[in-house]
Amino acid sequence: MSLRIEPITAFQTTFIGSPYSAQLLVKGSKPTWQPKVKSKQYADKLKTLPEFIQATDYSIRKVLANIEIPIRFDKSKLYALIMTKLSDDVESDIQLKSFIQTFEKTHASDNSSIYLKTLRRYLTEIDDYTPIQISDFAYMGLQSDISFSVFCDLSLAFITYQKMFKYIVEVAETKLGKLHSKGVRPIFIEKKVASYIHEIKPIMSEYSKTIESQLNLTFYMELANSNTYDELFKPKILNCATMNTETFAHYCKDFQSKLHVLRQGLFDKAPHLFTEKVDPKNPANFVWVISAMQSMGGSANDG
Amino acid sequence: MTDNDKRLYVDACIPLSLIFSQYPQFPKCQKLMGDVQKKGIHCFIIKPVKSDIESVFNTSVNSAKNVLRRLMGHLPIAKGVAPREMLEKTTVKSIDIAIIEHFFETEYHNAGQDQIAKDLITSIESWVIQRLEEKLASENEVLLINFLVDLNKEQIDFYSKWDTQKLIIENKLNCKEDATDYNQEDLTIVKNLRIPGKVLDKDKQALATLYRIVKNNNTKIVYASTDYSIVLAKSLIEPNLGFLVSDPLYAVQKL
Repeated sequence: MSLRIEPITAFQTTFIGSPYSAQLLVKGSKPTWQPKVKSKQYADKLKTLPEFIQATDYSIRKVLANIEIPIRFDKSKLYALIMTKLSDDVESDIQLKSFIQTFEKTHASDNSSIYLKTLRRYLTEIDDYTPIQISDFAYMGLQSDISFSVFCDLSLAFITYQKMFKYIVEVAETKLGKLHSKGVRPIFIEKKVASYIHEIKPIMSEYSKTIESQLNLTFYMELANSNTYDELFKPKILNCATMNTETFAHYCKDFQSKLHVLRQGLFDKAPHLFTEKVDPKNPANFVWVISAMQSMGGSANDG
Repeated sequence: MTDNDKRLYVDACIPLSLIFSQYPQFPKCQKLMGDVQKKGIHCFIIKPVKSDIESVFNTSVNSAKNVLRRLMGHLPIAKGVAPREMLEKTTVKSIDIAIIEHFFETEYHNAGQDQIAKDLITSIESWVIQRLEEKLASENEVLLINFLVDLNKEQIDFYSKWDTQKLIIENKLNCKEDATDYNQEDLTIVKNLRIPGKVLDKDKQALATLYRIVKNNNTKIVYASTDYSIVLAKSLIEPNLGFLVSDPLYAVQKL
């Protein structure tokens, strides 16, 4: 499985690192593990993106503390490898870097129009990126003997993040639009920004839990299916046999359940984003209807 | 007894009938959904029921994917493509439809006496052939791996759409999860009832969980199900396990 900073994660990490972090962090779940190599060296490397580095360091340490790591890998080495890769990726991706910089430098209260413009631009990027990610999961799922529902859930997560970002843009447009017009008083701007944060906070909080669970699952799959540091995060066929069945089932279940809570929360806030409908005449639909019948046949049709 | 002391629990077949518009249960379940909305009550979902609903989604995508994987292994060999070039080089042309036809005949044969498994193979076959013919209408040949990945993408799309449908139905049913676990003793009590008919393990687990909920709380429970093995066993279940079972048509009235 590839390792990259997804656009939506970049938004989240800059949020975690931003002045809003105290309001958005999930309480009581700080990482318990400290690497031998401190992330300061990466912060030095990325002086321009301190908040991003702080948040990435936080997420990676948390995942490495959470998951079962194969004995062939050293946690601190993994930490250094992942942080280097992620920081190198951001350095080489000019667009991503500029997005993160904009969010680090321009908060909604400073200049809402630049903030909104960046959000809209990134929504376009997420719209372009999501189908590519789904294609990758469709390919990986075909090659792997792991249950396809795992790849379907990972795809569903990206579809949900896309909806979530649309929702954030909608809220931002409503709350922050034309905020910096002439004559608008600073106290009014403060109130509006606070209201924006208040509105998106519950969803961002569920998103944080979902992405953490997703990272636990994908990192576990990746580590269990790699024999050396060189093999990590490179294209490969993922096999069930390399993983502990119970541990893997636990990560899958946790991810599925967190994703479900996020989707429910988002559905409550923005049901208009859940309009996709199944075409009953589509031949693929019959596969589903018959599977449902098969399941209900065990309980509903035996009487 | 206040309203808080009464709870309606639903079997998996109720949300599933509503999600997939499954007849003949659909009108009964729709009536239950209307009653729930009118009265503003919740439908509680227990763990075995939740797993049952999830298993439909898992079965659907995995059935299709497993057949596609077998086709991915079969087609290059049947076409005599050198092993090294297998996936990267294997293309599918109109002439290869005969190989696919033979592949599905074998799959159908392997399904044995299980009629639903056979129906599932037939539905996958129709879908694969229809999509292939659509592709071949505009191109002379398609790369097998790209074709199969496109089919998997379509399954993901369905997974997402059906999940949205599930969210909508859960919302309309005012669903709430009840995380109570049964213990081995509860399950033994249910097993000892010797309910006639085909009662599956998942149904026994559901009954054991409901029994545990009754034991833990002083709550009146109605369990709505379209499974007639359960509904018709009410004379066994109600006095021994302490909750009511009901056809969805009458469930809300019994609360």
